[in-house]
Amino acid sequence: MWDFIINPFITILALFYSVMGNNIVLAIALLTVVIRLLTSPLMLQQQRSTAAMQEIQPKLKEIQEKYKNDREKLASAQMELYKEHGVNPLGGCLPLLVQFPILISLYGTIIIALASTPFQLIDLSGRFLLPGLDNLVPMENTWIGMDLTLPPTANPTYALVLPLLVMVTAWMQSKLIMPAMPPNSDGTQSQTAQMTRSMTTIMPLMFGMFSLSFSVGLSIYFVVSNVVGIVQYSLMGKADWRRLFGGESKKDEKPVPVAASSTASAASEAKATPAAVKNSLPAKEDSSETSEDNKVKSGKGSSNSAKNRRGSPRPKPRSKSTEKKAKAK
Amino acid sequence: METAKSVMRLRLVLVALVLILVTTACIGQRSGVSWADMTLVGEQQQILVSYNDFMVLIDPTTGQPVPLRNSEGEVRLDDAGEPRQWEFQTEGSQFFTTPLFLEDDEDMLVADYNNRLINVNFPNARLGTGIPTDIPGHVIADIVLEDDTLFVPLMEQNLLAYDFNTREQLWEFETERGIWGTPQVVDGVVYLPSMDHSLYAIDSDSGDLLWELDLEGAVGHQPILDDERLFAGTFNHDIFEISLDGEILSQYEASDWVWGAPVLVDSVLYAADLSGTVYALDADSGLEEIWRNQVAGAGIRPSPLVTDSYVIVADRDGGVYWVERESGEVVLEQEVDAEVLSDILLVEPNDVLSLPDSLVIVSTVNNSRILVAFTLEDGERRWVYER
Repeated sequence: MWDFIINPFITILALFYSVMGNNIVLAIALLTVVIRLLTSPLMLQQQRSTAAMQEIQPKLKEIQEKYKNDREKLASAQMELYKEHGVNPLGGCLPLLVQFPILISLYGTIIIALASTPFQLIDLSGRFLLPGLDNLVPMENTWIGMDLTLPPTANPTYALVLPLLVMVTAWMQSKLIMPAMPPNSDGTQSQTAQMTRSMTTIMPLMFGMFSLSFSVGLSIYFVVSNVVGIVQYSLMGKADWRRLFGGESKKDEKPVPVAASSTASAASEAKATPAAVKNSLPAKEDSSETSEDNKVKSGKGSSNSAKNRRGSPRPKPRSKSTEKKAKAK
Repeated sequence: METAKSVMRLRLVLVALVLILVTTACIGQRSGVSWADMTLVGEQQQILVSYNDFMVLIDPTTGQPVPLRNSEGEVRLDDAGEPRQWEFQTEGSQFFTTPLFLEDDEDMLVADYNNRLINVNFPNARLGTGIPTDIPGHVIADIVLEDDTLFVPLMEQNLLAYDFNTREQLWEFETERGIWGTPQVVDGVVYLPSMDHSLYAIDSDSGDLLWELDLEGAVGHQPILDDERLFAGTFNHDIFEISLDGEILSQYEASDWVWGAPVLVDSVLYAADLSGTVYALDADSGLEEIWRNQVAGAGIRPSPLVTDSYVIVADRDGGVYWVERESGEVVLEQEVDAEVLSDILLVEPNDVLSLPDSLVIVSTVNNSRILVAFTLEDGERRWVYER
């Protein structure tokens, strides 16, 4: 089923193996780098999508509050917001899903190409898409005493270092590149932020567990892939090393603008006119208001989010708020 | 709402990860190590099959396991009163090679895939009295006994030589990759094919290298010895004629990997490769091509079976082909519906074995068709052995 991807991968791996002086680990590493470079547009798209989603979170919340009793208008307003900011709600998932066939095929490539038994070797025959590679067979399948086709648990004990490296590098990568999530008005983390944080913990653990079950060659792929990812993002200036050690992110101070710097301007407004901001909070409950109106009023969007950060009181009942809104106008 | 979306997204990712786990479990994961090995035993030409965790002896006339008999010729019964059959299994063992029958005909020596040499008492199909010898690797090529020296080729690398009587290791010859073809031992020289692309000639007494020839491709079969020359095929598509002092005399380029040993009959070398092509080469004229014919749709791994009239081959798609020796044309075709990777056997009638016709025995990787027997002359299917 996956031969249409596996066979080209095997061919390329064999080519790299030949170029790298019959060093299989370097060949796997080079193949990983190539795959990573080819999929970086997808990764960047994923990053942009995630960042954009994060940017419009306050507005999304506003809309959800505003139209919480009207699903149709809610859906319509959400779609309009997405369109306005060029956000695809599935944009974060799709690149990830596209990489899965690559991962599956790479696993197959390593198992088939590094054949160590007659059954495995017969399954390698006929897969090279270029002539002149048969003299490489059988390819070396061991490295520092480890059989690359076997899982770490079937190798010498020191092979268990690899799943650990997979976990550590995966964790580092996700910490460095995951966009910061703004907290709730009471200073606690939003649900989204909590979920993201869970993913940052769960995903490396899961990949670490995968590495325990699958071949050592695949662990090498994961480690190299994660390291390449870290380097890529660092070179692009998107990796925040301070977040790695629990420090405040630069991005927390200077959020990347979507329409404009909503949080920064909201923060400054909240300082200047706390009363006005407080009074404007109930306005979002008025169903006649649109997101455009909100933008005009607050300057750039979420005065509410700024207010929330300052731990302001709960919204007042509608009748009173309507009066105060009229006064504010 | 946002929480629900995030939860949904996380679930999607987790489901996808589980799908990866399941899907990758199905890729390139053929279970097992190698295919069955068959050999004919005794005047009755019973078929000894070594495959995975068992060895079984099959009656060629019926296709059924041979019953065990006592010294008076009576069939032995088990505790339940059922006839006992010749079948050997022992915990933790796997078998992919032909056992070595010892001179007394009582015991045979088996190279267990799981790093042991064990004695098997043939009449009783039980472990023999000899103490198993541990060996430092797996074995998938046959062991060889010559002048009380036991040669054990290891799947990972190296050839070991043991004193047959004491099981003391005499020497070890290092190769860079494994040995998947049986060594050829003649006149004090071991001709050793290796997956490291070399053919070696080694002094059988000392283990010293006499010469090494780089064939630029893995050699997965026993080199064929004829008088003063050797023949070998490689995974690099080549078939070589080699002198006994390590010189390439002639070379022929096939279409794909040559894995099964070529067969030399009447100065014609017959070979097959993984493109499904069969070759007839003139062994006395520098491997000049007599004919070649791509008879099969899939690769041919086993050595060709050469009879008076036919060259019989079988491919990975389960096709069995009778090819006319003179012309290379396919005259008969049969199907076994399973991959054939083992060498093919010919069982011929004799005074002891009352078979009406010669049988061609094909082994597949499918347990429901471990052995399939066809008549030689017309390809009629006679019996199937399954487990």
